[in-house]
Amino acid sequence: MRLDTQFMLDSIPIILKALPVTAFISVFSMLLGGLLGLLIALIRYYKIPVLDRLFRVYVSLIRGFPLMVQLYLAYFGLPFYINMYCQSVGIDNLAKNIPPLAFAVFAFSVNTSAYVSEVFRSALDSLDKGQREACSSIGMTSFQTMAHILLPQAMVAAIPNLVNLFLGNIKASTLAYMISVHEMMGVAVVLANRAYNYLEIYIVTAVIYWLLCVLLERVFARMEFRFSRYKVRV
Amino acid sequence: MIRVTNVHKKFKDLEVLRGVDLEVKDGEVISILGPSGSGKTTLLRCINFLEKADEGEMEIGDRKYSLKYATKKQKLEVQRKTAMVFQLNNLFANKTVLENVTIGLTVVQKMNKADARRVAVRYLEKVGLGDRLSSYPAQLSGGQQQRVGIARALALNPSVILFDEPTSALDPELVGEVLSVIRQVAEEHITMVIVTHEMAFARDISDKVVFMDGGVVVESGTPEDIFLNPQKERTVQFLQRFRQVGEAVK
Amino acid sequence: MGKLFSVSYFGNVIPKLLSALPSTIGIVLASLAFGLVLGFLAAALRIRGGPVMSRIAAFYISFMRGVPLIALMLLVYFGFPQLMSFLGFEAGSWPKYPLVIASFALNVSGYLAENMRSAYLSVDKSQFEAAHSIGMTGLQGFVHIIFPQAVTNALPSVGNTVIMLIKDTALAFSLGVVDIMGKAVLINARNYGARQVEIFVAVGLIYWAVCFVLERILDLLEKRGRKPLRLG
Repeated sequence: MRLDTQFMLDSIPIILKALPVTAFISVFSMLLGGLLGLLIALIRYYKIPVLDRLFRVYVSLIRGFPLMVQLYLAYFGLPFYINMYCQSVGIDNLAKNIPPLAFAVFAFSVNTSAYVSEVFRSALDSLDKGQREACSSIGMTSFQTMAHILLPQAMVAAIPNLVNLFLGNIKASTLAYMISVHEMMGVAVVLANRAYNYLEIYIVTAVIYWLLCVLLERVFARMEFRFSRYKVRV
Repeated sequence: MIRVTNVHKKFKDLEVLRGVDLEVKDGEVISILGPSGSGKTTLLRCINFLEKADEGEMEIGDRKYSLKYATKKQKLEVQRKTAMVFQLNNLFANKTVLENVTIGLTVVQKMNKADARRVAVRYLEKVGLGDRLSSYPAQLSGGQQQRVGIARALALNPSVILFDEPTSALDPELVGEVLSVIRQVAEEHITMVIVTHEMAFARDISDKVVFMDGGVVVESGTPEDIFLNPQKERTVQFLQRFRQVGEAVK
Repeated sequence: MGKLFSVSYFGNVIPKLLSALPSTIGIVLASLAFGLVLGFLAAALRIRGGPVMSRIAAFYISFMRGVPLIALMLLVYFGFPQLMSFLGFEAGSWPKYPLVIASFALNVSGYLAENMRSAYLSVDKSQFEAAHSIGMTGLQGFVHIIFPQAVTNALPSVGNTVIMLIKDTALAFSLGVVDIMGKAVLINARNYGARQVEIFVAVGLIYWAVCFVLERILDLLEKRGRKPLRLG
């Protein structure tokens, strides 16, 4: 078995050097997508006219298009339209200055927002209807009801699913290498192609991502346990 | 003073309220009795706009409202003047017992925290739960939860407290503790409208009893009038079912 | 400068893309078939294997779910031939499709195993007892009572996993497979990058449509599956 184990060990720090990029993509797109997703969920919960329908279509399309397609649309399509706009107002093409990373985060955020909105929507729907009635009965406004009672309870129900989405984001960040973003997968591919050490590098990469997921799962599980000790769910 | 007139409400094809009038004077305790489906709960929920009536007018004090066309602002106004005790208590699951009572005071009535806490503690002690302030609803028994619900309503100092079958969902041995708290409240001449199946209790604490059936008020009067001297056939039939209770407790 | 979106070009490119639909469907079905077998084995070992086997199965499931699909694809596609060359086989040309399908199958088997495991666990314990009480052996009880119920319980989550699989297969193009996405990339290259938005929106819509149809079918199956249980 001529597996170059020394090479494998040497490659680990090189690959991990790009971990911040992976982290940036995952965390940022989770935050942006999460906020947008929450907003969409609220709009659909309160059935705001026009917007409700619009976002229903939005969520359906985003969850139906493969992520790779969304990534390509962001990476090729946005510069195209930006360029069109620049040309029409007579300025230099701004798209040149935008790094691929930005397009990646944009695409991932949009993708995340659709899934997050569904998580929050079902969390809100799962709440006991009486809670909302009790708020009305003491004269709370919709905003007060949501802020003090509904959203906190929905959060508790939503967190496990949000954690899963986050882990999914970490794995999805690997797609970014296909649009020239130097995150961990991209570094690995470069290393592997240099001297045809595919098996070694790709085993290392697979294990790194797997360990990352397992570690984070444990951390989140412990956090959930600690958190639920304070709040007793009805 | 609360007065509703000509309340109509349909659920799909089922007409649940067919023109109901009700008047509650200040400090009066009114019980609404009747078989299931008579519309008593719906009437209560129309009063605080948890249901939207198809027709009807309401007066609270010197303010008039249309039950059908009330604006969001008006609804909020009414909901701030009234309070409800639910069959399934509907305590806020993510708040402690104390917070359940103070939240109405701080968030809705904009009281400061210290005052709100004082008021809340007073009412919680009154209902016998002064020692469970930092417990969560899930840690309490059904009867204790319901008593917190009553404290929550009382603390808001509303023009009227609406009770929607407050003991119907409780285990029998817990009913007594809740009824005695409600009796305490009634003795202080707080305006109350109680929908209940507890006949003897209703007879004992009410100033006025209203019997509803099939979406209309069949008969109303003092407890003596209704229980001892019912005029309408339907009232008699309904009371037959509870005769034993009536005789036993007399 | 040009159109924001050429509907005519969009209309033209759709049939070209659809010509690759069989390829995509073939990949999905093959991956699903193998994935179900592997997933079932893994779930079975996880639930009923001895202490050693169930640990191994748990690791397998965790690994297949934790490794990003692209990483697994690259590992299988490049790593497997290299592995074979160590063992003396020719490193030369290994057929593309089986390797790609293998990587999808491995990946999805992890998710399917979890779907099946939780569906099995969600069948009420009393059903086992009832089967025993009328004299069925463990196997009979499983085949006639537990398994059918587990299948019904599993339908929603397995359905979602399949939908995920369909979208995931879009990655096959990165290894040179000419499925829908692969075709799109080819057309795009031939066009020197013009009208890219139309091409990829078309791709996306085709996948979306397939998923949409599948979701409706799943809804119907779910409702049918619940009918006999509702009268309980």
